[in-house]
Amino acid sequence: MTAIDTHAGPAPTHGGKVPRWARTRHAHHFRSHEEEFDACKLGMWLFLTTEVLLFSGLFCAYVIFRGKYPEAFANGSHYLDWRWGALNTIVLLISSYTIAMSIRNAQTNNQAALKFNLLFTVFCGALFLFIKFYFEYSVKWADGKRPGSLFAYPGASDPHEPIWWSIYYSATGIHASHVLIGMVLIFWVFIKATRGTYGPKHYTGVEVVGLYWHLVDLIWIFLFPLLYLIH
Amino acid sequence: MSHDEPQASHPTAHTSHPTVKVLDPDAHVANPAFDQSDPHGVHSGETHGHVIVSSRMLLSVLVILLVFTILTVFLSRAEGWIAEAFNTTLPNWLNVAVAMSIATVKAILVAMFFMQLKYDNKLYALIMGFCMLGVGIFIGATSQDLFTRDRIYRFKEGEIVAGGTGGDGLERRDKSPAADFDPYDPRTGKRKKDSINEPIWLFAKNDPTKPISAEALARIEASHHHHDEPVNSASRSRPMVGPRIFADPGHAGDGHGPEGEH
Repeated sequence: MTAIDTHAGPAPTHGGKVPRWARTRHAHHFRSHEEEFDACKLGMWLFLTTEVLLFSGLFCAYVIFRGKYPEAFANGSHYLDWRWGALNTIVLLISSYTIAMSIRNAQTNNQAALKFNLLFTVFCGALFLFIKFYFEYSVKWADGKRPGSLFAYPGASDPHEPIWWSIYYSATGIHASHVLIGMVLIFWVFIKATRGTYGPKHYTGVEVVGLYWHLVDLIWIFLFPLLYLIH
Repeated sequence: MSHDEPQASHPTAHTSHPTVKVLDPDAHVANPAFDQSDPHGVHSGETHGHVIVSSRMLLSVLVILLVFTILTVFLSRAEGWIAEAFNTTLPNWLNVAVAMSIATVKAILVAMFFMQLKYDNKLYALIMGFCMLGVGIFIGATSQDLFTRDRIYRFKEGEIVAGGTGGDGLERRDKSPAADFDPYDPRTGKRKKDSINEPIWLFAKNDPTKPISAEALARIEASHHHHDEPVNSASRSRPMVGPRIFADPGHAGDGHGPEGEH
């Protein structure tokens, strides 16, 4: 019976210190690291489908109320400044690019670029939230353009305008909360990356968090024209 | 062993795709047998056969996405300019269709290249495709039902106003719709083409392109279920007026309520 030698690790190569990603062990109920990676990725894709269904409920509400009250929605979209929306779209697209690059950085063991790209993605998310809250939400809320029963804007020209604001705040608000969740997760991955957890052999965390962030970007790609551009 | 050189780029790792580089495909073994002496895979090679997308490909996808963003903003603004310049109004569905198709193209680019659906196991694309099918059924069926309700119920065709419009919408309940609806235009004597204004069940009944003979109509009427047995008020297709829980026994009333319940 062969002795199971669990204490031997790979031979030290980098000045005697083996990086953490090279020492990673897959969970014992998987037969290989690749199986673990594929299982994690499949799990994240399944979760993303539930997120898509969550937002499709909001999109369906938009379709329903837009069909019922077209004038209120045409009026409502004029209150939104498409320039802030376009800027937010550009910010999120760039953040998608940087997190895709960070996956590549992990695969090619470019640790410095990996950390920079992860941190830059978090920064883009923060910029998105800042633009949304400071230039859009706070201005509108102060004006009285609020959802549903909180509505207090005296210059409303259509009786169904509170419904437009309900759709606007709930759709963009739930999206913004997803941006915040994504930022927290990416920052957590960044902290782990500073300890050398990710490299060519093991980059599951970066991959999975990247998928989540891309979905957040996808949702905004649809929200932006629906709310800002269609009159 | 390959794990001693974690950055080894295999000299023969050239695929037909110049833009992607496969991480040491020769060492990749699909589903390696479980090695009892190495249960945690400490000694297994770090190559997974996963695709590394080139940075040039990622950058070009980003540039294309930004171009599409500029395009969609430009087209939505252009609709207003065209309307002013040519003194015409474009239909609203055009704006929606253009914006949504550009958004779909951007979404497909992000999904295929940034999320690497193009390079991965096709199962992930299948899962996402199935999810999109579900979303399509959800929004499509809801729209189809909601936006054609005015063809079924006349009283649903108006706008919903807080506080109601007076009346319970049931004034027509006992009136035959044919009594006050003339399917023929009195001016021209021709049949009205706008089926939106005509309840659809009546339109189907009076459709001159599908004439129905008297015998066929009699057969259909005979096969219909008639109220020779009491119908539970919950099954009635028309709303009842007033409470029916404690029906006055002397009241034959409008429904077949619980007569003689004691």
